[in-house]
Amino acid sequence: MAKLSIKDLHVLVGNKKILNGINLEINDGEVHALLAPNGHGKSTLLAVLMGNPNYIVEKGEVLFNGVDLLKLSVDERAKAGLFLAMQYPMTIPGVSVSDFLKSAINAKSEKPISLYKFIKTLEEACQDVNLPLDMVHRPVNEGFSGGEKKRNEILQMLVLKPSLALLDEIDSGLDVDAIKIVASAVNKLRENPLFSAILVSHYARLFQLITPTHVHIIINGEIIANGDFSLIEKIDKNGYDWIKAEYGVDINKKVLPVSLENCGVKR
Amino acid sequence: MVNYDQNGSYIHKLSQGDLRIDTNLLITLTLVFDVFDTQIKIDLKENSSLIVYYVLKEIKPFNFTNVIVLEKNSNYTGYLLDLNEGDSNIIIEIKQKSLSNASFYSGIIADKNDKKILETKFYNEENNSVSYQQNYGIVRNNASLFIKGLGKIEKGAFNSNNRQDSRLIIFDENSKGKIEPLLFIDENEVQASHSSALGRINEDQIFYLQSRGLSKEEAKKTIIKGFLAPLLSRINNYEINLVLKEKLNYEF
Repeated sequence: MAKLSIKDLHVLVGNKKILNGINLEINDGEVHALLAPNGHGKSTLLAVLMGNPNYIVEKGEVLFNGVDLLKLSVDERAKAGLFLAMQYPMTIPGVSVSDFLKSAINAKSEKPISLYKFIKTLEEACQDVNLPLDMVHRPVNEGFSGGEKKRNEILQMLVLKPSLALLDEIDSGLDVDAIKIVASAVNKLRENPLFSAILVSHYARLFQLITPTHVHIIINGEIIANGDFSLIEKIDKNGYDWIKAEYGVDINKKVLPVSLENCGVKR
Repeated sequence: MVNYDQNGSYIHKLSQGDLRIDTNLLITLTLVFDVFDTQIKIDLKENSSLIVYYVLKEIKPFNFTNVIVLEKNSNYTGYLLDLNEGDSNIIIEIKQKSLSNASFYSGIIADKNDKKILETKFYNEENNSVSYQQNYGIVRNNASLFIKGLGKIEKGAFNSNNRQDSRLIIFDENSKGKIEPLLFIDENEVQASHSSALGRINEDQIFYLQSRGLSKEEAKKTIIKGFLAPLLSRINNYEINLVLKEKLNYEF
């Protein structure tokens, strides 16, 4: 039995169909890379797996370790071992990173963590993502730079030790050194043979640092190609234009709202 | 009439009556309420300073009026937390003479059909008087909360300053919240301002906290604690801390 099994998953946002029948299986120890042009459903898939209420599952099945994931609440999914590192992490004013993480750890365990163990855990995680320890006394993501927010997501992942991490563009907004730090933290979790991840990114650089075991391309809400690292190299070199010729799939460009005119602009 | 004539910290159970703080004293007062209707008048004599912690026990409904008169060069700071279940109607009325300084901080949670009203009235009656109030409100589960803040700078109260800030978050569609700041100015050389923010809870914040394992209720409590944090960080009072621990599982 696969750890995560997604069958024919169809998802809507409002009236708009985003996912059109995703099928995917993930086992322990695997890292799956998801690539797609903007607006084709990568982030949607991760958000739906975590249970974001903004998305409506029209049909399909998702089993996590044999349990119907779609029937679980968001926190039950987290307690079952899922973790979503978000592309745009939320700010929680007035709540320190430290208090937040302590609540999160205690929510997942039967006995509250001892203060000594908690501080040691935080120290180690802060070192791993190269953030100063006093950062944990600041309110969650408030006043954080883009890079600090991303590293804070990885810090939380290291502390909470999920069995399936969903990493949504964790490299966006990071400089070259920070990407290496984040990748090294993810690779540290990979030392656990039970750890698996779905990794979304637009850039080959991240996948060079966190080598995926499987690679998938999503177009128009469907996985149209599966492969290995060579798929990433091909996209990095040629973009997505070859998809139509090779797979006969038209890439629907994301429709952006049209700006007719600027108003309130002083010239 | 209770007359305070020595410096110190006092805990007082009160129903109604008058308190007087003698000149040049520095008093910290914890007022514990255990009756439904309470009216208290506090007189601060010249050069005196008073810090008041209002501790509300389980009283339903709670009607409270506190009139505070600040004589010349006196200081008042009040901290009021109303986290009780049940309706409440709280009136804080402050009259300030010259060079006096008054600050009032409140946090109110209206939950489960509660109907709560906080009405503050700050009168800068004489010159160089400074008043400031900061109110935080949370409304959830079909409750309502109305924060009405009046600031009035009288003729002759030049160089006075009257400021109020109020914040309110509403958790659900069936709950109602309203902030009504009013400023009346009868003198030219003064400063007066108000700010109000009222909005719904951000569902994305709840999702974020839940995605780390907190239940929906824990997530909401965490957001409440964060919202009240600027207020709670100012409070250092054993009796209020006990209430916070019980009501919000908040520990210092």
